[in-house]
Amino acid sequence: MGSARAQVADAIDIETFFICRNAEDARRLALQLAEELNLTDASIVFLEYVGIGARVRLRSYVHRPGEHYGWLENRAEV
Amino acid sequence: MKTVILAPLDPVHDNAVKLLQRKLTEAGYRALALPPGVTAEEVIERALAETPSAILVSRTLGYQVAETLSGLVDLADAAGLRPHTRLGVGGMAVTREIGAELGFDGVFSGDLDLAAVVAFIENRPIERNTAAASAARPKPDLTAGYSYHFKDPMIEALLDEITSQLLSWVKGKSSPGIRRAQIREAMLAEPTDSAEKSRLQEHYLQQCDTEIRAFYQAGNMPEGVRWLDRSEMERLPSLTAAVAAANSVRHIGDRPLIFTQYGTGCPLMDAVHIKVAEAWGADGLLHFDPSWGAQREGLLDGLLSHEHDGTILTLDNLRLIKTALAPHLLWNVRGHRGLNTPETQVLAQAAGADLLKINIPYGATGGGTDPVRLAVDGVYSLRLAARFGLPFDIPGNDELSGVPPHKTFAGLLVMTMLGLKLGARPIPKPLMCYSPYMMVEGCMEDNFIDMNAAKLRVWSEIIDAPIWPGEPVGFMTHTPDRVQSAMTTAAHVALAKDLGASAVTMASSDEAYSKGPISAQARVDTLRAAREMLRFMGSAGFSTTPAAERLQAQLHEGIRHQLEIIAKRGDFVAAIYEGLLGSPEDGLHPGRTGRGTVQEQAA
Amino acid sequence: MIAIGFAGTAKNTGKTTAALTVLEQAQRAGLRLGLTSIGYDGEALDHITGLPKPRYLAPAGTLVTTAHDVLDSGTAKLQLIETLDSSTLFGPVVLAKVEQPGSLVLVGPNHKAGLRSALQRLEELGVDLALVDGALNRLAPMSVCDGLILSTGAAYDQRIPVIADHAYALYRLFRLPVLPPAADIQDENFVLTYSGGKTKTLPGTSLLTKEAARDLCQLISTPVSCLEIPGVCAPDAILDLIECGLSQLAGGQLVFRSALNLAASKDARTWLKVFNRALSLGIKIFVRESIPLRCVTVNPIFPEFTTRSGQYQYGRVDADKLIEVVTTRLSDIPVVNVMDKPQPDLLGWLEIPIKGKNHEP
Repeated sequence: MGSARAQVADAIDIETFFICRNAEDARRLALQLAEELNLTDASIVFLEYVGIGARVRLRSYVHRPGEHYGWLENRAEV
Repeated sequence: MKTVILAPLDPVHDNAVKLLQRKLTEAGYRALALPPGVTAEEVIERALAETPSAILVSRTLGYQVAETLSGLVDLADAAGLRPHTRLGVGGMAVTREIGAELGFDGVFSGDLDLAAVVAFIENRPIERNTAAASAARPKPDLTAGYSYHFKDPMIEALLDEITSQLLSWVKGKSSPGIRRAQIREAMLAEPTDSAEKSRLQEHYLQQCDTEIRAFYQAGNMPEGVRWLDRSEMERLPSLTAAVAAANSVRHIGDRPLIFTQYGTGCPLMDAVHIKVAEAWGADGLLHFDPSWGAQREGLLDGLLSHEHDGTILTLDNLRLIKTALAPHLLWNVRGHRGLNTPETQVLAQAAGADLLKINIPYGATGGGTDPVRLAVDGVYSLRLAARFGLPFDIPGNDELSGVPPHKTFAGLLVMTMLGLKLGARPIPKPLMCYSPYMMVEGCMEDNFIDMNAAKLRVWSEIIDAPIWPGEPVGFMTHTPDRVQSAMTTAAHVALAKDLGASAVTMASSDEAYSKGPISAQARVDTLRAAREMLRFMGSAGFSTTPAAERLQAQLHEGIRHQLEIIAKRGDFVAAIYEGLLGSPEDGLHPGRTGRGTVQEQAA
Repeated sequence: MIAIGFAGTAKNTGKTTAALTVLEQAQRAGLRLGLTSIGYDGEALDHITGLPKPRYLAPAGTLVTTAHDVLDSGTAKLQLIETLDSSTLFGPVVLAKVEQPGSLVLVGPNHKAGLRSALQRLEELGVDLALVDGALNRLAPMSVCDGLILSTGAAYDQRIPVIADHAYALYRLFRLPVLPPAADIQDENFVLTYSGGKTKTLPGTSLLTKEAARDLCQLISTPVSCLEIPGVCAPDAILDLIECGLSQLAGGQLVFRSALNLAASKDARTWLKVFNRALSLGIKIFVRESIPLRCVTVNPIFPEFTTRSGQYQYGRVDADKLIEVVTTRLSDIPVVNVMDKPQPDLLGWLEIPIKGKNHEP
């Protein structure tokens, strides 16, 4: 059975909330989380910091348009 | 008249500049808007000629753009403008950190906040929800301005008859719940470690279940409950400062007040959720305790965390949670349904709550408490609310079991009249929901507006009272999808506003998720969605179809008819047992917890 | 006290790295240090590129001027001493002392007047060396410093000759001959001096656009021996002024208030055209104030936006070639890459008198 990641159409989004001191902290934590989760090609889609922490949507692209798509290759193998 | 120079510093776009020019001109400023494509040198040359109070630049940030913006700042400094001209920047992606790096005095992002721009031009602090501002903000009184005058005399007469019967029925009756509330009040008046307090504690335990006694006497914890660590406690204060620059959910006006619920099980996690709610614009919070707390005689004590839903009601827990609440936030502690209803009011008041929650028919059916017991305890609780001077709200969530709204509303009205007679200030809470009754009857097949409009508008035909749809709005319209869930909550909030609600209770986008606690991000989602929806609606409103008037008339008639039946029965408690406020056929059964515990007091 | 400004030609040219190098060397030399910034420094990640940034690690005893709201943003423990008279987006500027060493976020006075009074307080409190971290390409506040370290590199432009030309233009601006302040000249207007010594004042202070240059030119109807311009100037405007007023200005003097008033506008390389044209017409250019450029640091690394990831990554130009070409253009001041080993003696080039001082350990 192929990897689940290969079957991701294009991107994985992580929705979370960081308790942190400012927006910069939140950005750093988001990118660190991506690293800790082994999510490559990660970026921050949305970040809003108010008072206590930040609402964040973190994105990791698995397949960008124009690349070779894992889900297509797996299908070919079938 | 002060001059302000507005410059797009963008080759093409100047919409923000045009908007600001109009707003500032209306506000009495001489606002000079420079055209797109203007250079930093041209801006500064104009500023040297005009000596403006401020230069406001609008530009979306990109890597090379930063140097253009900082170039303008540098030129202004070299030209000697900075002692009398403030420099502000606004645009997508411009944060406070970037503004400081570029050397600006002010940064504006998001929607235009004219008050903030004017404060900046005038070089005075922008009034935000800082700790001081929070403390200075008067707490809104949801009942202010309402006369509680009944507009339907027939309903008023029926309610008078029903409540007179109930008040005369409760005379001479007492319960372990009432006795514990009385002991608790006496204990609160005693200094810590007094001998009298220990004696009262012994007396208290005699009124408790064995499980509660085992907690005090043998240190036995209920399942999933633990003491909070000292180290956890010591770190909490960093989370409890008032949030600076909190958002507001409302776009215009000061109603409805926005309430959210918490009750994660742990007071520390509650503190986080409270701060999140505060930061994203909530005006008030409701405390939810574990459902088992309603089914035991007696409350635990101390700082306790709980692994499951609902935060344990203890005075220490409540006081800890109170430290996380900014001074301007309203706080409701629910005690409407269980064996500890009177004592909950005592603890809530001692911890500084602003609102109580009491509903006899609902607590005696959906809440599972025996109607006799809750009638006695509920009336006592209303007397406490009156003595404490705290308004109480009356949730109408029995609709969720399948009860038709006219029966639920009959119960809300009985509680309203009962509260008024006892000198308290009631706030009825008709539920905006897609209830089982509505699904079966098909009343909401076309839209969710007509029925909800009928349910809220019917109140203004009956009584002049504040209306607070809860708990939460949109109940049973939510799915576990966060976008759908936030969307339906936001739509219900906007509809409640349009219908003149004084307050609403909002769910998180985890409302329909049942496999774990609500997440912090899910709280943000619905508050953001509601803010966006209220921005979208502004002063505009919803329109109903002709069905709404018909539904409203049917509802009004249904309430009147139901009250007639209850009055005719001549015994309110019996009416609850017999299903007149919601029957087994409707999905509601009379509660059994605490049966046989009410005693007649010696005269 | 000596105050050194760390200015850059763009973001990410290495200002903070240069400042940290001086900080480390000054700490070893036992100097009592003061730190401030005209922007926002000490953040872990760049606010625009998201790439890691060098962080300030301040030794105990260091005095800092920073914004109130970022006092506890680093790991250093700071003791608040007093609130100063300027404010920032992060609250009022305060003076604080590092009690326990650690990282710092610096958000100091963002303009010349604020920086001047902050430096004055640092001097009164016994600081030997004050370091002022710059921001992007901002230079104007640095005019209140005693010396400047200029950082440039591939973040300004990835073409090495362009980096070198630009650094050379700035170098030339800072090397313009300085005239003593003229007591009889009013600050706020253009002043014409005729061959007999008679002067005439014309309205205006700055020349930033071609239109302004032509307007001024039309007011100069007879040959002048000197034109003094007190405000800021754009090189394009000065070129236009020269072309328009050839016959009146040729053989005379052009006097500007400050080298930094010239550096603040547009691409400094255009000033090279001004200097060449003036030279060909026998026009001599002077300034009333300048600031010593002590050394130039170069950084071969630059943030590069990649469409592949939608993020910034590091790119680099040939480090050896960069330093060689820039050194060739700026023949008589040190040009270094502070990341090179052994570390260059930046402190020595700042000519700070450190001998015979009695310092706190």
